[in-house]
Amino acid sequence: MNVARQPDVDLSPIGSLALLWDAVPESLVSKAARLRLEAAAARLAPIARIALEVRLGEGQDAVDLHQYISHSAADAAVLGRYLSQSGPPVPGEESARKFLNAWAGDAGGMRADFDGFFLEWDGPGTSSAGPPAIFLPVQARHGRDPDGANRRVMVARHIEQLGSAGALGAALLRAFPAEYSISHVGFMLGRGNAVRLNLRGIRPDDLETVLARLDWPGDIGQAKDHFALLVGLTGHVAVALDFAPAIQPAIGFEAVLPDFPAGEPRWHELLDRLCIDGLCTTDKRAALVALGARLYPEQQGQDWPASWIAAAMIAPPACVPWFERRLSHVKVTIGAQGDVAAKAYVSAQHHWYRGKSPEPQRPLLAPGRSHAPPIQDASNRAAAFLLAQRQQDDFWRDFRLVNGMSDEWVTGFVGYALATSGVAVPNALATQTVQALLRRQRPEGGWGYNDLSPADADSTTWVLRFLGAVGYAGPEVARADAFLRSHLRPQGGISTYAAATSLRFQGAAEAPNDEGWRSGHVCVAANAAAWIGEPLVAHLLSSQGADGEWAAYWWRGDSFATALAIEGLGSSPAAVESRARATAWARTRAATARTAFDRAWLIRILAGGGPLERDQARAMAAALAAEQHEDGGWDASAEMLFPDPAELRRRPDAPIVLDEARLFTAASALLAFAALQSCGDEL
Amino acid sequence: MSGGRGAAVQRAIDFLSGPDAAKLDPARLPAQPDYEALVQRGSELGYDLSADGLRAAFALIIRARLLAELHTGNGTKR
Repeated sequence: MNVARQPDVDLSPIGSLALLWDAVPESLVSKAARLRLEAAAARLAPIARIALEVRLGEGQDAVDLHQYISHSAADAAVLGRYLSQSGPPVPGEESARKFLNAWAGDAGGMRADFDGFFLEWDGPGTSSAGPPAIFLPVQARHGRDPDGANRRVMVARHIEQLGSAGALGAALLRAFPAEYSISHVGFMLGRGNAVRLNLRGIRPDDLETVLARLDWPGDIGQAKDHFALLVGLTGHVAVALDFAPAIQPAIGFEAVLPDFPAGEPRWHELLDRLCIDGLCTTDKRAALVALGARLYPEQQGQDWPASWIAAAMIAPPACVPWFERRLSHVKVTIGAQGDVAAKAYVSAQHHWYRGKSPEPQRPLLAPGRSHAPPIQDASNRAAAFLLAQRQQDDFWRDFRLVNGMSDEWVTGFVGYALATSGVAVPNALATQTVQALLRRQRPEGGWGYNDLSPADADSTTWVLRFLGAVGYAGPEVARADAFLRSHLRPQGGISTYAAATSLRFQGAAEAPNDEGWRSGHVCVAANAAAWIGEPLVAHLLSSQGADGEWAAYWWRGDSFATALAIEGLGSSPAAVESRARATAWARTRAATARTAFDRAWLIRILAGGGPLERDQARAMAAALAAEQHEDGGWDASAEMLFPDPAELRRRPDAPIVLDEARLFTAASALLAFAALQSCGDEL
Repeated sequence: MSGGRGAAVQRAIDFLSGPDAAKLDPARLPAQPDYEALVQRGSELGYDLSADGLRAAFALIIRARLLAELHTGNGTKR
């Protein structure tokens, strides 16, 4: 959301409801609830970013209403006008009004310290709603220990402006164990000033310890079961705990998935599970799956709200409005009596811009923040970025195809990068990652792009290389090795998918011709050679390109495959000339390589060359470190291809899929820095 | 109403993109899709409009903004 350019115009949130109702059957939100919500929306500040919290069980008609207010000057101006016209607060709403006035007036510079906040009304009625809950962000996902502690203190200082309603929250933020990351703090002003803390990043194995440490009075076994199930289905579940002022027995688990259900198969698995457990009706499940859409007023069949048309005409010409409705997340709650229920959050938001980068620009690393040598510091930050991105089921996820995001392949790769980087990582990380991957090993011995995809040679290789790097040598390795070798081709090389593998995704029909995906791929051979050795070494020696590169099938550029090939060749004397040609190729490519991903792999090639090449690698590594963002990552730049299964050769027009989570690029940079370190450089 | 559909769309463009657009007060218009209300508001401001003309005009104005955005290199989400 580009809040800096938000126009200062009123946008009725009723418009969001109007564009939502088309896709919401009465089984999800009844007519009576719609009337209540429209009446409640009419009482809100005219900011059209709302969400509905709908109950998923049978006969549950209550719907809560949420509104998001950003830190933009425009939202503050709209809010300020709204407050000035609202008259005095009704009894019970004084604290909320005080906070909203503070926000609109930027008291204490609070808008600089928060991206925004959520207001939440429980089951608002037709004529009144009672005071809302206010939810504020606390710690960033990538916040390191000192940053996280500082954020808590800062947030506590601001929320004390709520007066007595803020005192408990401020005290909790200051006293809560530092090792837990608090994503949001909520002030439930309509529930006796209770406070909610949302905790992120807790692994299922750790929940019992967390709850016991907090003296949580509920049934820990029951909580563990639900939490583990949700983490297994989504990898990303926040734990919501209430305090009033003592910790309460109710607990909530908020499970988040990216994208619409049409683009993320795990939504279907999650909702199916809720239906099986009797927590969601099939009608509501169907409605949630179908409602996601982005609407554009210039498209046929779109009737834009009349007041929004007026707003668009008042707004600057650079404003090009659109609207998104989507299933945001699902929450499973366990009540004080052990009763379990599920809710879904459906967002309905107006947007003003269609720029390519709807997220705020990520700040580049500020110079002079560390005393460590720059490349060592960049390496540490890259590792910290990767560790922070690991999901609660111990998988890393990146890329997005028709069959969802990759976890097995990406986890093998990222795990290998961390294990060989030389950067200190938590002791338990390797064991946890090994166990997560072993749980996914297929009966035939391999791993795949994810658990919805067939096992393949490349994913299996990365997992094997990771297992080797951390010294795991259980019987699973031999089974995986046999699976990998079954992809060797009699005519030389190795295929990504074996002839016997069924290439069927999400129940779709198999491609009529998948010869391309089953053919020999040099980029996979380059990777697998490091594990298998011969006969792939000989194959690599015979398949090097005229300019010294190895041509990838699955990647837009050849730096990755070429770097892997050099490593796969090992120290064979027969490979000396081949390695020299590849290094010469890398030197010629260094000046023109477009992406951080390609440059990282060129650094890895050049680091293995002579003094001149190492000098070049050092200079490139310094430049790569300078491009690192504050969070430790780089812009997504690993350009994977998704060719037609029939294509035998890489085509320049093959669809490109970027590492949208930026993990592949960060892991590649980490490996590049590690290569310099391993050749004796003082980083 | 006079003229064909093209004329109706042109009148709506003149209304929505002209100086009188500043007199369109979102608070005076329905929050639901309601082109008849816009027709009425236009009539109050002296314009002879139709719902279809307004719908088409708004789409054209947004398309023009989108094209301008693309030409300035801001890209598109779509």
